[in-house]
Amino acid sequence: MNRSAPTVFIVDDDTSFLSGVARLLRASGFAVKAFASAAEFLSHRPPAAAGCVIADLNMPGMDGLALQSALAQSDNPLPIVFLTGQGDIPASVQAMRNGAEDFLTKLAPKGELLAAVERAVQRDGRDRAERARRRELQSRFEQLTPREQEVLSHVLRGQLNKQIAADLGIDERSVKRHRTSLMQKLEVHSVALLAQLAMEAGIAGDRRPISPPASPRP
Amino acid sequence: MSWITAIWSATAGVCLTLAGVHFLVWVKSRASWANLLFSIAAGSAAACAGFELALMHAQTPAQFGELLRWLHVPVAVMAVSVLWFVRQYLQAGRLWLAWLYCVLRAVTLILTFSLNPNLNFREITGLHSISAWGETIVSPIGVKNPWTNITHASVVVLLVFVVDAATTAWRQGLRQRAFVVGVTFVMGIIVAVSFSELMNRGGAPVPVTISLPFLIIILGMAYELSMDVLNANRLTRELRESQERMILATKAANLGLWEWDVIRDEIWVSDAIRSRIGLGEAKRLDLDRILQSLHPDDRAKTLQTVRRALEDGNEFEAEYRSISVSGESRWFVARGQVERGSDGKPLRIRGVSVDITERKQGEIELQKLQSELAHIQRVSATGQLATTLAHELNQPLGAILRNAEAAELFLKQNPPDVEEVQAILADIKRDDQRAGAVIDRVRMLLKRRVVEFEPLVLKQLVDQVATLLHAEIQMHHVTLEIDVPAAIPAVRGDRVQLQQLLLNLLLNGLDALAGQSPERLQLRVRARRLDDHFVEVAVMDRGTGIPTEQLARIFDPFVTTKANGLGMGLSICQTIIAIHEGSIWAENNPDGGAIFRFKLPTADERVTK
Repeated sequence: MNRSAPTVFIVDDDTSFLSGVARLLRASGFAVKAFASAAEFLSHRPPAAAGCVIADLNMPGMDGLALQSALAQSDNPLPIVFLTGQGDIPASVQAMRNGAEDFLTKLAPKGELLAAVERAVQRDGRDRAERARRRELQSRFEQLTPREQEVLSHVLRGQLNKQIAADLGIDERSVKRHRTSLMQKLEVHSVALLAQLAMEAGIAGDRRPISPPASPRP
Repeated sequence: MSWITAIWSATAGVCLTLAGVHFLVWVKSRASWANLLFSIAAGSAAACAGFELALMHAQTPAQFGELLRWLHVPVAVMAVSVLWFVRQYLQAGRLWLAWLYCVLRAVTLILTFSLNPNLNFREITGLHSISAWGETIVSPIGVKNPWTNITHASVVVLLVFVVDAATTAWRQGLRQRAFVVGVTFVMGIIVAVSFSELMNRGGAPVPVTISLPFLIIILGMAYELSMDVLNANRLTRELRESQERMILATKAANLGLWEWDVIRDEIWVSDAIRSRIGLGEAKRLDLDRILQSLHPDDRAKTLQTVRRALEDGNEFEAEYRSISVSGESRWFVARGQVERGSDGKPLRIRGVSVDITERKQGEIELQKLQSELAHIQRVSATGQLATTLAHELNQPLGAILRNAEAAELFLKQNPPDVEEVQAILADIKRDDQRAGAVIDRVRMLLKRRVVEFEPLVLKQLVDQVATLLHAEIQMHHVTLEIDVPAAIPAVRGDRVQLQQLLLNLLLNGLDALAGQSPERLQLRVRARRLDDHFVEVAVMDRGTGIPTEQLARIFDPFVTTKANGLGMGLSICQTIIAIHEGSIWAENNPDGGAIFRFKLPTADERVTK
């Protein structure tokens, strides 16, 4: 897993355009991998590769929009920049609503194209860091015992140890012990930090069990 | 009481009255010859009665002889007119028998005036007074003239003629007429002959009479003729009824009836038409007045149709708009039949006219729709072509662009990546060929249809395209002036392609006129013969013209002066012209606007490939 070198994955059935764009991006300093179809890309891409995707909207077989939704459901939802031979308004609207980074014609100025790719790569970096942090937080929360989780949820609701003890039917000392233990496991020193961490990890102050990581940024 | 005088006078009276009545009928209706013949026969019978009365009261044998001689005149006239009446009335009888009888009658007249004292007697020796029917009358005594047999012969001819005519008429189905005429005539003739025979033998105590038996014939004829009057009456009634039915039918079918008396230029029209064009009962109608009621645009055309029908047609048909008294304009079709006299000159045209406004509006609507449809098809075809073209061209063009951009960057590298740049240049070349292939394919689209060369009348071609563009031109308030002399030689070409060519040029012209002031909204198509081999067509607009630097390249693909043009229209035009072995060029009009001229070979001079 090489997280530091973003790769631009180019997917286009027109091999001539594919190689042209690949050359331009390579000359502009990007690591580039080209694929002639969406299916080929999905099955051959490195599973955790960072970077972004540049895809033609109109392709035989799996088209750009299908690729977009397949990508979104994967573990590595790379940002996508669409290129198209002919602007098609309904498709472009759909693509943007589904979170495409940009939508350009094949004859778009080089600057626009490079800027869009740059933006997409940066966004991927941010998304990736975000996702990693969440995963890390979640793994911390997962270390808690069921009793600690119960105590945590009461703490997040702002209850005092005495109240928590009464609610859970255990003595106040036990509550105090659980609190210390979970604070240690989560590596926080104050309730304020704990609350912030819980929010970042997507855990609200109710009795809800810990949910899996949220879907990528809308 | 003196019966003889009373009866003969009454006979004469009846006959004269009948003669008078039927003479009047004939005067009113000159074609009814039967009535005239009857009138003459009846008049002659009256004269016979007069002569007979005088005979019966003759004082001397000489006077008797003289009167008898003259009696032959009315008898002959009467018999001849009866004969022709039969022929006329029954439409039968042999002509040679009729003429034979006339000749025999003429002979008897000649003989009676050349013999002394007359045809009947060689000499009258005395008069025999007899007392009969309440008065004293005379009967001749004398020697019978053998020449009198000629009258017998004539009577036989007459009888044969009548019987033959009656039989023929009977066979032809005129049974009542044949019966009445046949029986009364044969009876009358036999009685008359018997009487005259008795007199001729001399001494027989009978009154001399031809008129009484002939009265039978006269009455028979009168009866028949009055049956005709009754029939005529019935016919009139039936005619009126059928006329009413006709009016009802014409009303139901919304038909107008009309008749034009060509010679007197008098037009009769049914009430429906009369009230439509707002004419009173009395006013006389002529062709001019009717033409006045038509839409001004349709007058000349309708008049021409009328003239053509009069000249050489039997049928007349014209569609026109008629303006009603309230100013409403409706479409009509008039259909008629030309009736000609025996000399072939037109006497009258009779016909009907039908309101076809609804149908006509439907037609106009349809035409509009069709032309709109054609336009939409053309536009959508162009649009489709543009979309496909844009998509297919953007691929190679995009590749070329990206490669060129990449090459720029590779060249800036230190050291420049020459190998990569060479690969890029090879790809660019390939993509350029690809783009060219796309354009070739568009050209092929044009050529794909099997090109069919045929002689084409330029005027027709231009008119067809003008029709196609009619709605479009009107929508833009542009006037299209077509100046294509009919005498220009036909060109040899493919109809569809040349239509496409003209369509493109005219649509370009229309586009060029967008935003021009109203007086400049003009398009003109002008054609002329260049020489024996070529004709030249010019399409001119009064738009902004073509920038001088573009004039030379304007037919190249993708060269356009329009903001959203593809630059394919004129390129297509050039392809078409090349297929036709002509040439096309553009120039600017010194008065403003552009002129596109193309040259096409004429049909007869073209060498077939």
